Amino acid sequence: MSNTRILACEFEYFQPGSLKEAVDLMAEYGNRGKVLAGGTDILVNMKNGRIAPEVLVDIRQIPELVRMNGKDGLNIGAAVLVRSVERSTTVAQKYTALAEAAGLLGPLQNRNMATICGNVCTASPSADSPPALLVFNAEAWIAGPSGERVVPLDQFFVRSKKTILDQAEILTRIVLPEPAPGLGSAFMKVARVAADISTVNAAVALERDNDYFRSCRIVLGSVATTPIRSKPAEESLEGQQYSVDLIEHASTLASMEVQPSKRARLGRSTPEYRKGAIKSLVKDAIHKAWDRASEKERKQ
Amino acid sequence: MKTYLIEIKLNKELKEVEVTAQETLLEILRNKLGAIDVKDGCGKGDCGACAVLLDGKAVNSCLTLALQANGKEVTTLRGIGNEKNPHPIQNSFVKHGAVQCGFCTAGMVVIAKAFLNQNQNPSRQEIREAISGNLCRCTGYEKIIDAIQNMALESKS
Ligand code: FES
Ligand code: FES
Repeated sequence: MSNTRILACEFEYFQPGSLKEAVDLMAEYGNRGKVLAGGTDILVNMKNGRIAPEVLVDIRQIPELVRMNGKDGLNIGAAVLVRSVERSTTVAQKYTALAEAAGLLGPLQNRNMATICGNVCTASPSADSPPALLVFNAEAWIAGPSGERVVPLDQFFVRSKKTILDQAEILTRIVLPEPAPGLGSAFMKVARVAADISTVNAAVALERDNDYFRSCRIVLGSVATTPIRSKPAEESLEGQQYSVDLIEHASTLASMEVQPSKRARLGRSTPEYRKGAIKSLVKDAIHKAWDRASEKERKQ
Repeated sequence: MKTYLIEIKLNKELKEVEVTAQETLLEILRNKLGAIDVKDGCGKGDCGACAVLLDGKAVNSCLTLALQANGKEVTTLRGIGNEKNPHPIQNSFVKHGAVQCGFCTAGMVVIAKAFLNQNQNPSRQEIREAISGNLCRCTGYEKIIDAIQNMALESKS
């Protein structure tokens, strides 16, 4: 047992005022440094003795990283709080699933501290924001010693707790393209209580042609070591006419994505349970997103 | 060990305090500034006993570095109300029997304050969600929810 009352390891703390400074610091310290944003994961891991960085680079004061911009797509800076995303009217209207995921990401005080980009970088398989970002084709903008690179978010996650970020690199923002006009979306999760870590979660975004599915994206969390897009489920809906049976079938296909092995070691629930939970979750999320897509259509 | 001089406004009073990078806001509040109304529970963001308002926003002080609070306003339970001048939320907690051992109460009141500032007419479900990061081992939560809900109702009438 470690003592979570104190931060036992000694570290140096930097509060750079610009991204350039932060990048230089990370280039200098490499694997001995860590980027600090909300601190709700990193400081816990430090207190538990799981990590012991020698340097913390706090990016919360960097002006360009605290900004969120909802014009022409959505730009979420690395220091933007979960709570700000949850309360943004632009996000609620255009990226409903993301607003819902942000609102369910944890208790109030944690949402006031944690950042969306931090939730992504921690890369926990059960994280709530990644599926909700992935259904909107999010991109990760990464800064490093050799410049900037942009990677589709679905290539960002390697496995549990592991991303493609190089030791000296910083995720500077997540960018979502402007959604198609009639798009409807929803995020749902199963947990002991809503603010808990998800047992499973799912995000859906879809477009309609009257009674037909034009396009559909379904992303599942906590079913494998990374968030998973269920292509079979998506394809089973696309171009088809809405029916309860069709959606039932799609959610069965989604539930097959639950990976049987290894999951048990997370100790939260069995694969069988997850399968059942994903099935009902995806079904409900499709219905919700479908109704929202139609509401949007009527409004136009 | 390197120390830094920081300035915080603790319950409207300006304080200067010397801190190290390792110290959390919770540690300096309790150990250096005598603010023992902030409780030290789990130390890892699970229980909410250490909740304070940082520039008006509820945060867990056990996961906030002292350095991060530099130049900011920190409000603890005593900044919301005290024995002589209790806040209506505190009165409501007393009236509804929402305090047993009292360990969670400081955090609960802080969160209730932050929450009611943004939602004057909450449902029980919304209150449940708002205090979901605050553990209470005594009351079973119902009386705490009663207290917060009635406080909202009374202040409206
Ligand atoms: S002591 Fe801070 S959340 Fe428990
Ligand atoms: S009253 Fe004892 S923990 Fe809540």
